[in-house]
Amino acid sequence: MKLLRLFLILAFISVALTAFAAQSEVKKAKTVDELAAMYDVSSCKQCHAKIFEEWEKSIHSRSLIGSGRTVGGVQGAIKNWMSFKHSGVKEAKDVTVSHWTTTCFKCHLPQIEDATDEVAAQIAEAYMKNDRATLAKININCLVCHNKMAVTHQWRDGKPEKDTVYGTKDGTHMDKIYKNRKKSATMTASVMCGQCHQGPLIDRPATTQCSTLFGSYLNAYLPNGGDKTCQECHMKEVDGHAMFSFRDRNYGDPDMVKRALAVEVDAKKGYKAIELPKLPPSAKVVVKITNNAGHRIPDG
Amino acid sequence: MTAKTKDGKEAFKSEKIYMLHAGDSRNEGDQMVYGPANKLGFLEENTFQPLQTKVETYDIKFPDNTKNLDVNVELRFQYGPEVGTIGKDSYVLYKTTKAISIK
Repeated sequence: MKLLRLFLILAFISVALTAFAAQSEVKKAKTVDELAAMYDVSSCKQCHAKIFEEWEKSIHSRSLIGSGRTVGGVQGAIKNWMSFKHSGVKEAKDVTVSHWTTTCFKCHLPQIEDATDEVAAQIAEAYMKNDRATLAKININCLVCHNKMAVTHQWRDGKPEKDTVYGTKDGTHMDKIYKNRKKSATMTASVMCGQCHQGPLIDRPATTQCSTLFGSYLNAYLPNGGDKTCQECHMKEVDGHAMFSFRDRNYGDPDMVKRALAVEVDAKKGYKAIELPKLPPSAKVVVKITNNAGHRIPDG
Repeated sequence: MTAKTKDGKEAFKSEKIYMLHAGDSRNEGDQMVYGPANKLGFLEENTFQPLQTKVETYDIKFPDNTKNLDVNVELRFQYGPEVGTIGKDSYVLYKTTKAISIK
């Protein structure tokens, strides 16, 4: 009888612990569509239509496709993994979340952390098939910057809260899911952008050099007297949430190009060498190129 | 940059690529590589630095019996090693032609 009672108590505790663990475990997306739904931002558009329209033009809205070269770069990375005997990848379906978070998706899709390895494999297969329709379903959208990546100092400020959008103000937020609004300490600071626009990534089993912008900003722009944030140049002064680089902004507009690179050409009149008359006359052309941006050009 | 005579003959040409020239850091020669998964060693850094002016000077000799040259300067942003299609993956940021004459 005592044994039976002990068994029933242990069984009850076991069931209770299992139920608790199941509740505590964060549900991860099992398909690309589930991940897209988890990060659905269609409700943002209703109130923030202009910002949403700006964002739709940005390269963030197609972060897995990018300029087109992104697809080639990632395909090349997957092929590399297949050739590396220690990567654990023989085919695209062997790619896991860990492969992605170690490399490309640390920046191109940080929300991959909220997905299972099945999703990681689906995306890898989409890359190898050049399936851009699938790749277009997930991207760097409102919730990535205004929730997932919004809190940079988490030991001090805590992790991003699930029902909160982060911006420049505290208060309530008219959304069914994201009902609260909180001020992010770094939303308007360059470090916000630097979370992704930095590199190279060399402290991991697969090194990746994609962007080195933030390093250039810190170690060249600021010491040379620069005092603007990324957001000031790329959002406040032009284009808002389109966040264009001036390279993308308007190639045909010389004034916009000058905001990044200003060129002066001085062609001095030709002269004849008097002292050495056998030398042909020559001219001197001086080209001055000034970088007005907050980082090296080009980068990557 | 090119300098041409009035009848279109090329008297001078110079082309320079400004970028972070990367190798693969595995000391397997000095070959430049492309692709974020490959490049890590830095072979040469000649990008345009923020708030800095890069000055390039060209000394152009006039060919015999030539008194006039047209100097064409073009600064182009280009994806990838190939020249590419203008307006698609190759973009002209600045272009000018200067005439130089001697008496």
